[in-house]
Formats: sequence, C-alpha cells, structure tokens
Amino acid sequence: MSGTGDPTRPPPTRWWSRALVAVAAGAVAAAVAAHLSATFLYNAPANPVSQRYAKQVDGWMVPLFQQNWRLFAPDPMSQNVTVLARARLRPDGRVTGWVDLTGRNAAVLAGDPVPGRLDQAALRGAWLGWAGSHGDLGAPAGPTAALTQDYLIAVVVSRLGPVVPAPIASVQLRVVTALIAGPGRDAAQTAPRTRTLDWWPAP
Amino acid sequence: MAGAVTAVLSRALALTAGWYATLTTRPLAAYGIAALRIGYGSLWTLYLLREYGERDAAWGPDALWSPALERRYAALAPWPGPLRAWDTALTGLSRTEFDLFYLLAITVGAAFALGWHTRAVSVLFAFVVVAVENRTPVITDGGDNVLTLMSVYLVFTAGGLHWSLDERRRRSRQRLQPRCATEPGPACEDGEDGEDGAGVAAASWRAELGSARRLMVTLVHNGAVLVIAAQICVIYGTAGFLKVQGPMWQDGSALGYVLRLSWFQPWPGLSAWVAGHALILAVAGYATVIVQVGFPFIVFAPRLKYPALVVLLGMHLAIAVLMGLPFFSAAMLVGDAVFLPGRVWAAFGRRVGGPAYADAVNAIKPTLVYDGDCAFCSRSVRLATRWCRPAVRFVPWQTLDLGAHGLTERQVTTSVQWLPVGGGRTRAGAAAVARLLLRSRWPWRPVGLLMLVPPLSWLAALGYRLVAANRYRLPGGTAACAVPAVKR
Repeated sequence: MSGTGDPTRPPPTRWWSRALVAVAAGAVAAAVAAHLSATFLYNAPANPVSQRYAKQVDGWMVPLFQQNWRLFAPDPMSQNVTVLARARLRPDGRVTGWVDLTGRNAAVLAGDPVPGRLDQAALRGAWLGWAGSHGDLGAPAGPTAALTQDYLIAVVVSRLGPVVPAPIASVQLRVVTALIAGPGRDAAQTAPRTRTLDWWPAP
Repeated sequence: MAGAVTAVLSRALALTAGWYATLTTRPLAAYGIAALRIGYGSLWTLYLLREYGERDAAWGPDALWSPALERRYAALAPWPGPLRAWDTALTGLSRTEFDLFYLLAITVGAAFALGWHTRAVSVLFAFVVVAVENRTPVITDGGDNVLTLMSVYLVFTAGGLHWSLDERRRRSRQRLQPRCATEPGPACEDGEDGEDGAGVAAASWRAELGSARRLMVTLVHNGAVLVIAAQICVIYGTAGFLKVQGPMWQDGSALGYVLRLSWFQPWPGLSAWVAGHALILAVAGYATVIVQVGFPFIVFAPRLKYPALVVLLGMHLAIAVLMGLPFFSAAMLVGDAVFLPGRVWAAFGRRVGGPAYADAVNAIKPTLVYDGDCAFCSRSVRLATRWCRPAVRFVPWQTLDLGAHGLTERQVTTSVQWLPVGGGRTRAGAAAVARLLLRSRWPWRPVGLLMLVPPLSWLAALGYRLVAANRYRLPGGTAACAVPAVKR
C-alpha cells in the first residue's frame, strides 16, 4: 500500500529503473488487452473469431473468470413450475401423499426481505438443472445428467424429510408446468401440464 | 506535407507521453475503488452472516450439493490443477475445519472493508470468495458472479488509499515524522542513514528501486481499474444485447412475466399489483434495455451517465424488493460505483467526515465563556483542555455576541458562564466549572459532581469568588494581555 499515493518520493531518474517501468507498462497493457479481448469473446454470441479461439478463451476464462449475463434474456422465463413429491417409506414401503414443495418453499420466502440462499435457489436450481440436462422424457442428456439427478434427489429428500413420519426409501416427483398468461397466449396454451417422473431411490 | 506528418506524429507522441505520465503516477478512481472494497467486503460479510445457520447445508461437509458431487463436477472440467484445488478447497474439510474456514471468511470480509493491511487481505479475500462461491455453483446467481470477479480484480488495485485503516496509519506516521514528509530521500527509508559512501550508494539504489516500484504499483492499479470498468460495461452490454433479441423485451411484455414468476415472489400481493400496470412495465422494460445496451457508451458522456446510473439504481432497488434478491442488486450497484468520479466521492466524504461533521460535533457541545483578557484565565483554559479534556467549547467573551446569548458584560466579567446545548439555563462561576468537570475525562467527573453537592458547593462558590476577584494578580496575570491562542 505504501507504494502508491505517497507524494514524498521522487520519481525514478536512472535509465535502468525507467526501463523497468516501461517494460512493466507494456506488460500491464498486454495483460489488460488480452483479458478484455477474452472477456468480450467469451460473452459475445458465437462468431468466427470466438470459434477459432474457443479453446484459448475458455482456458483463460474458466473457472476463475467464468460469467453469464443472460439475466432474463433473450426472453424471461414465462412459465410457472410447481414441484410436488411423494415418498416411499422404510421399512414397510408405505407411500405418502403428494407434498407441494414449491408451495411450501414460497410460504417460507413470503414476507422475507432478505431470503436465505437455499430457500431461494435450492429447489429452483435443482429442478431447472435437472430439466436442462434431461430430455422431455427424462432421458439423460449431457455429461452433468447424473450429477443434477443426484442433487435433485438430495434437495427433495431434504424437503420431504421433516414432513414424513419415517425414513425415506425412494421419492417420486410430479411437476405441473403452466405458461403464464400474456399477449398472444390462449387458454389452451396456458392450461397446466402435469408430468410424473419415475421413482428414484433415496441415498 | 512532411511538416504536417511530423506535426501529427509529435502531437501523438506528446499525447502518449501525457498518458504514460498519468497512468504511472496517478492512481485513477482511487475513491471509487475504495468504495468497491468497502462495498464488496461488507456485502460478503453480511451475506455469510445471513447464511450462518445454513452454512453447512449450503457449503459444508453435509451440503445438499455434497463434496462428492462437487468433486465429480470439477472432474468433468479440464481445469489446471491449482485452479481445481482452489475451487474445490472446501470439499475436503471436516465440520470443525469448515466452521473455522467460515469464521475466517467472515473476518476477512470485515478486514477488507476496513482496509486493514489491504493488499495482503485482498489476496485472502479473493481466496475465500472464490473457494466458497465455487464450492456450490448450483446456488449462485449473477451477484455471486460479479462478486467473485471483483474479488480477483481488486487484488491488483491499491484499495487502501482512502477510507481505510491503512490510510489512517499512514497519516499518523506522517504526523510523527514531519522531517520525512518535508525532506524526501534515502534517510526516510526505514530510518537508515548512510554515513559511509557504500551506504549512500546502497540507500540511493534502494530508493531508486522504491520509486520505480511505486510507478509500477500505480500502473497495475490503473490496469485493474480499466478491467473493472470494462467488466461492468460487458455485464450491462451483454445483458442488454441479449434482451434486444428477445420478442418479449421487444413488445414490452417481459417484465409482466418476470413479476408473475412464482419462484421470485417474496411479496405476492405487491408483485400482482405491479404486474397489473402493463403501461408502466412496458416503459420500465424499454428503459432497462436502452440503458443496458447504451451503458458502455453512456459512461463516456457525463450528461447521460448520472441519469443512467439513477435508472440502474431504480432497476436494482425494484429487483431487490420485488424479486427478493437484495444481495444480487447490491453487488451490481457496488460495481456501478466505480464510475463515480473523485469529486463526487470527495463531496460525499466532506458530507460524512468533513467540516460539516466538525460543525455538528461543535453544535452538540456546551460552551464555557471566559475572560480572554486575563492571562490566568487563558492559562487555566489551556491546562483544562490538556488535563481534563472536556467535551466543551471554550469561547472568550470578547469574541461572543453577548446579547444573542442573553448575557451582560457585568456577568461575563464577574465569572465564567456555562451555556448548555439547546439554550437551557445559564450557569455561572463554580457551578459552571463543576459542569465542565462533569464533561471531562476520569477522574475529574466525580470532582465535578462533588462540587455541586452542598455544603461542598458553598465552599466551591466561595473559593471561586475569591479567585475571580483577584484573577489579575494571580500568576501569569497582567492587566492587559492579548486575546490568547485558545481562541478559535
């Protein structure tokens, strides 16, 4: 800290120290230019330049500088998802009724100006992550499919655990999706669609 | 023709030289960077404190995104070893180790905000932020993303130049060593003084290297400031350009959908009410997109910059309240602060800690009116200031508008007068001295208290009258001394 903002020091006068500063200036300029170029190419839509240097750009940006500024773009999510779950219990294989996890989650969040991160993001992230790495029929798509499924099961079990009376052997999800009403959407389009997934063993 | 080319070239050279001089000697946006340091440091600490009860479930050994999941996730990516080790630093910790790490992370955030050994702490800050944020990537949002990036960039800045404990320490050192402040040179380097020739040579060599180092530190700082500013522009620019491509942002319906998303409704009634105003939402949506797309250009136009920042402030406040994302909004707003110039921050600093503050403190101090023409009185005031350190303003009556304070010349020439804050009852003589002592440091307070209790108060009053009547005959006293130095 003592380096900057100390007006009492005289400027360097010898040739070697001035050369040192000039070399440093060149290095800083090069580093800044390289980082900003990589940042631009990483965020820009795919183009000939970013495709040509994809490996170098990703190698520099990920994981330390990875970023995603989609933030409700190009279009915001426009459907509401309700996740329901039920459990098969140990030891007798009794099956519980459906529990509205989304509704319970919303009740926790309601009226809290500073919501907790897990209440806010765990269920939403787990579901969206699973849906993004699995096909419409629930077939795994992509290398993270197994991870997102394990995570979704962990989140569901953590939410069902306090509600059900016995240890959980396996869980099943039912997901109700409804497009939000808006311009150009008729009642048939906004009608809720229900999808029931397979039973998954709890860890 | 050749003359014109030479002129252009020399002009370009002069410009470059000017830039070079500026970038090596002036740390740019020093106040803005201090604001970022304080903002991100406190935000991080507040975030961890908010999540304290959930820390294990979020990032600990029993997290929902378990250490095993995180290791499998990291194994999918071709990251170099040290970065992988950094990102997964928390996965191998036991519960106790994790708790200790969590406490360390909270402390580091606070120390960073305070600017305590800023450069060293900034490295620690980046370390803990990256380690915690990457431990559970599935629960992070844009706010975590910007915080992570900034924690890394801030390592390269001189964040402790202003509003920091480092600055305070530097200032008090400068006060202690006035010689060094006025006579720069090798003698000020760690107190060494080169008597013999070799010593002088070594010292000047070291001083030269120190000067070069200062310029390089400033250079790196300015590079980092440029990166931070460009990063904020990339954030808004990217978000804006992507939105422009979306039909819902084009037809102004986007915000209506956002407000009807059940995932983001901490106040469902409020969201529904706002969602009912399609006209306002369309205008707000267009304003958002225009400011975001334009942000990378607007920052170069002072007349547009402040209105744009106000729009962004409104947007982020709305996101914080309506969508329940206060940390996200705060992280974005702190980043925007880098675009406020030094004079705005200086005005802000004056408002908080400058003369206005001193005035405010003086306004809440009571006043003791004394006789400035009496050397004994002035000397007593000096001694009282030094030994009793009372939270009191001393004013010689000669400089006071007596009528405005309801005093007469007879009163102020007979005894000292005590003017309480807010214009309560005036006290005189021993009663005034007692109140002065009551507002002094230990052990004078009980003395002041005793002086108010009869019969000691009668004795005190008698003693005071004796001293006051003979004040011109007491030590140091001459009949006509000038208005003393204590006068402010």
